[in-house]
Amino acid sequence: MNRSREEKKKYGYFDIMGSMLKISVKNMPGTFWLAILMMGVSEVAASAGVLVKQNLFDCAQDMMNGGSAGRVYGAAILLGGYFIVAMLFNAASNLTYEQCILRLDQEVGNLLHRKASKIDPICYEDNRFLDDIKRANTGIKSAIMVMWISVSMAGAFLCYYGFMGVYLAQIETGLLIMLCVSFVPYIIGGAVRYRMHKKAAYEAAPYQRKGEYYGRCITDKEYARETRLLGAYGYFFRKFRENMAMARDIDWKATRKSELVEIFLRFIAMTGYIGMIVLLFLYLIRGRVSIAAFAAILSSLDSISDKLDTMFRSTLPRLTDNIGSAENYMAFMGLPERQAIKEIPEGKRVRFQKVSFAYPGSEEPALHQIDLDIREGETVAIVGENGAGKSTFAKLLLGLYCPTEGKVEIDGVDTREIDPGDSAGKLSAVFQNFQKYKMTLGENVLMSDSGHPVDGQRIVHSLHRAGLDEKSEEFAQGPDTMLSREFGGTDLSGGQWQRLAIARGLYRQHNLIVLDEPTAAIDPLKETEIYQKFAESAKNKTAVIITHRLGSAKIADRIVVLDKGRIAEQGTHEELMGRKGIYSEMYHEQAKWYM
Amino acid sequence: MGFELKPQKYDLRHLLGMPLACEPLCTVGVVAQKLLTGVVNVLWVLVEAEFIDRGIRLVTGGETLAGMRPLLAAMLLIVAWKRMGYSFGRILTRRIEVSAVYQMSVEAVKKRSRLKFKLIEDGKAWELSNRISADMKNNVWFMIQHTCNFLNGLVRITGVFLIIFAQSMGLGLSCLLLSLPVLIFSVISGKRTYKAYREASVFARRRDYLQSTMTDRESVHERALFSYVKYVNEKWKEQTAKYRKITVKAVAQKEMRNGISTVLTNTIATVMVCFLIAELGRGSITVGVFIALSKAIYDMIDLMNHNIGHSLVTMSRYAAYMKDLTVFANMEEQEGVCSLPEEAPGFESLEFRHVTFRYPGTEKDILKDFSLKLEAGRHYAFVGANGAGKTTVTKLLTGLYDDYQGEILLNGRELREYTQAQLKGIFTGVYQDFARYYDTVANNVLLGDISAMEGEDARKRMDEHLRELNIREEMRSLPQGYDTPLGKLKDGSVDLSGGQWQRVAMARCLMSPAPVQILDEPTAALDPISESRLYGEFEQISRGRTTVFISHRLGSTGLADQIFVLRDGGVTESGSHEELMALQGQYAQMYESQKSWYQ
Repeated sequence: MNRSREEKKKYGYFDIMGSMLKISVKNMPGTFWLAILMMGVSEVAASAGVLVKQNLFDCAQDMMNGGSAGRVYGAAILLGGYFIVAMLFNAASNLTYEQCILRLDQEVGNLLHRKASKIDPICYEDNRFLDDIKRANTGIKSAIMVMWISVSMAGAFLCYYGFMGVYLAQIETGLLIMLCVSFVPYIIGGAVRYRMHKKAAYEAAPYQRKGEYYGRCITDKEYARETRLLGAYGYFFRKFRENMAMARDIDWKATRKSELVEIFLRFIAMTGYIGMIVLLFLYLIRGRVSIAAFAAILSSLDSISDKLDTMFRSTLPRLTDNIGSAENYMAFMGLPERQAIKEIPEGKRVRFQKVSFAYPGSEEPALHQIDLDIREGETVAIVGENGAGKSTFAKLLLGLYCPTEGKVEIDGVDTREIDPGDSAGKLSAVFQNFQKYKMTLGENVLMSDSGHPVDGQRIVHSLHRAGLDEKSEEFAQGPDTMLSREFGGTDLSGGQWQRLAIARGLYRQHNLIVLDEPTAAIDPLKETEIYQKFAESAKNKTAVIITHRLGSAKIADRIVVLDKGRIAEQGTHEELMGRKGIYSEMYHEQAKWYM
Repeated sequence: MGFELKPQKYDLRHLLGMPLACEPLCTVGVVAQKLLTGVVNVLWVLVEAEFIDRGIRLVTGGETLAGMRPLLAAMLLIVAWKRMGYSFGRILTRRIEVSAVYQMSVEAVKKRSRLKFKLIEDGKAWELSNRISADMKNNVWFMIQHTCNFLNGLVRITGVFLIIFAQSMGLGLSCLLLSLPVLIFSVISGKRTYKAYREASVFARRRDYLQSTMTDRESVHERALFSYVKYVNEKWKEQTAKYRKITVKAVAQKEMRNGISTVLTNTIATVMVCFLIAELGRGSITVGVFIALSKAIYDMIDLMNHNIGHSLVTMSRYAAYMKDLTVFANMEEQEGVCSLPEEAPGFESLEFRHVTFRYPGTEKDILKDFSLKLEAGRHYAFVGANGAGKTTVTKLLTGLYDDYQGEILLNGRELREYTQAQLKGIFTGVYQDFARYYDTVANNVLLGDISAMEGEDARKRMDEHLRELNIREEMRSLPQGYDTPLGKLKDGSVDLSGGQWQRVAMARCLMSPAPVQILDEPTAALDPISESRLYGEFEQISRGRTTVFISHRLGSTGLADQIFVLRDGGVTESGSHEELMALQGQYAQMYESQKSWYQ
């Protein structure tokens, strides 16, 4: 297979920026440019304060030298007004920012979902992609943050420091030079901190992970019962504490080191700051700056430094932290897709021709040289031990996975050329790892055929066929009952969820249906009933049943026995029993308990 | 020493109390730094005023350069402290953070390890303890930071007021009175903002859930086959639009409240500055005092609007957190739950006498007037439909729940009188959702007899049990034999198949010297052949012990000496397989139904 040999593409900072900027400019130009504009204006407004303050102090000094008192009051009111205007710009900037981020989140999310619907399902079995897939959702927020932090830092530099630079240069060029020099320790500090933390995080991570895991061995639902009964608390607690302490020590060592470097760099920055004050003082006694300008600049120096501080201490680290996660999003968007070229005409007949299949990254084929013809209207049971390849077979049959060698044809069309989810295709299934959607009862059913208009009667009918009653007391609001405690509804038992999954599979208009271990969590009496109902309704449909329980395979027209990825035997129950092969051995193993 | 999570009330005082318990010296240091910085900021005003006055006189020739020097030195000292003090405070804060994260995670795990089992099974309590444990880590640092900033702001504001008071009593008083409503407004506004964000988070969770169904791994096959992305995406867009609307509205309201308070505070500031101008005109203050003081007033206003306002929003969040923490810290604990198993006093009999039980917070009796008796050395099977109470029985007899009515007599004595350690010595088990410990093969098995874990003898027994369960060779051929780490935790770990894990869990159960073993559907994930073999083997291995086992597959119940059929919380039938078949009741019906597949 070509795709497994493809190198995983690397994405970096500029890819993220490019992609986010493109979406912003293309899909939501108004919102985006408005937010940028407001941010710039608000930065300029913030920096202009130094002028207005200087004005007040100038007027006050003038008054002492005989100037008018009215002008001082005017200047004070102007300053008050200025703060309000600056606040207004700031509020507008915050608001447009929020609007922009949320809009972008929606746009990017939309793209992500469209992408997810096209990704070749096999990617989800590929170890190289798993991390990206798992973190693509959080990656969206990160990618947006990366973009916005970059833009806002650029904005702050251009607008705020640009304004300040011009102001200082116009008073004295020396001040501008000092300002630029004072940036240097911050930039070095930012780089050093980033490296150190990355290294420490990398070293501490395994201990942290182990520590957290051992903690879960004590506290988690899936472990607590057994850990308690075994009396293994002390055992795991020791391991938990040891690992957490290791992680803490590594973390502290790195933190201490980077903070000490920080103190040193800050000391340099402080000497620069003091240098500026001394310089100002020298200009003052030489009469090159007024006392009012002196006071105004002195108060802005603080805000300049504070702003630099936040920028390099919290904003920049946030940017670098987010890049990793944003890369996951980018990688997700780059995953290989499948494109449907043809439609499946009916979806009734399936042919396997010398089909082999190996999961990505695995040498061992899960299926080996399978030849099989499933005829229209036939019911076929697939049986075999754990790991014989039954579920993989189901996924190839439905066209979800494409064969590594050979081909699978549905109505004569190669599955490589179709979209299995095409609603014209009429393929349906109940999967072994069926989903429990935190939605309403009705939605849980109609999820399988949402391309067609909702048919309430058909929903109810499907529920009944799966042995569920929408009128029972558990479903207080009938089909509209929310099936999730988290979203204000109720939860179902494992068996009920499974029946719901069956209802979902049946609801989809289908000519062919695959049932993969559909009754594992259902108790015996119900199980029999479901199989009987199913057998009735499958009469003129093509059906493939995958099961452990050999007894239930008997309703099939044909039984196919898989063993280590190959077809070991096939035929009717009687034929297979007559052959005294694997099937009859398995059957006797199970049946002997009922003798 | 160190932080200890106690069952007490937690409130805002603990914002400092918790760091103080974790790292007393550092906390004192940080608080001192923040307070000192506040004080220094106030001093600055005085120094600057004097400096400007002399500066003016210097230009006009009324002051010498030498007179300026001490003031310049004082100014530089203050600047130096302000810049460097921050760094010192920061390194201390980081120390507190690192240490508190550790101590608090340890405390949270300790607390959770002692919780009553019902709290672990109760979704809400579980969710709370999970959230608290995760938040503990994230919150500590911000807590210290915000609390200190708040203190710092308070000192600065007080300082500026004191200076104004020193200038003019009347001005000071009127400013104070004018500022009070602003502060009250800030408090209310902080609470409102917090509430609005919480409201929005409900939509955010729903939205995130919908997004996960469209992208995650678990749902990929249904998603690809059912093509539901378009449908779900529409729902997602709907939720997103609602979320956006609420959030933007919340931000707009927050900005509006912020705006109102800015207008209010700036009006006050302008009034104050105008008073100062009047004083300046009258000559009762100097230009230096005017400039320095008006700068201080504007700084203070800024502080009030941003720092304090922000802190108040955060405080509301922490108040909610402290409430949750209080609930968590006061959750009911089970005594002795962390103890090692005590050597078994022997097992003779176990009797349920008219036991009625329902899970806390539910309406339905799972067991109703339930009675049965188990005797030493026999095998018992529990069968029945889902929800008939089979698993509940096993939970009661291992002491996980003790709020039942009626009596459970273990060796003739009420079960509740036994300590957890004694019960651990009597019972062992394998459950459907048995634990897969990411540890070595050996430790996975040896944990079954934790008191004898280290001995050579235990390893020999382990080897024997693995042989009996037919996985000795498979385990020996792992890269590091019995010392191969299992699971996904470390590099070089090996993950076993479901069936292999199950056998390891069985071996663990066999290691235990406990006289009673409970097997709760341990074969659910196995294929027919493995299942059938396992039953055959188990029959052999567990001879001499008392066994209680639960199964859906009635074929296997033939191994039992006595079968109990559970229905609606009671025992409806009991007896050997032959007796029950002869009875032609529910058991026979279930059995026939399953048997019919094999005829």
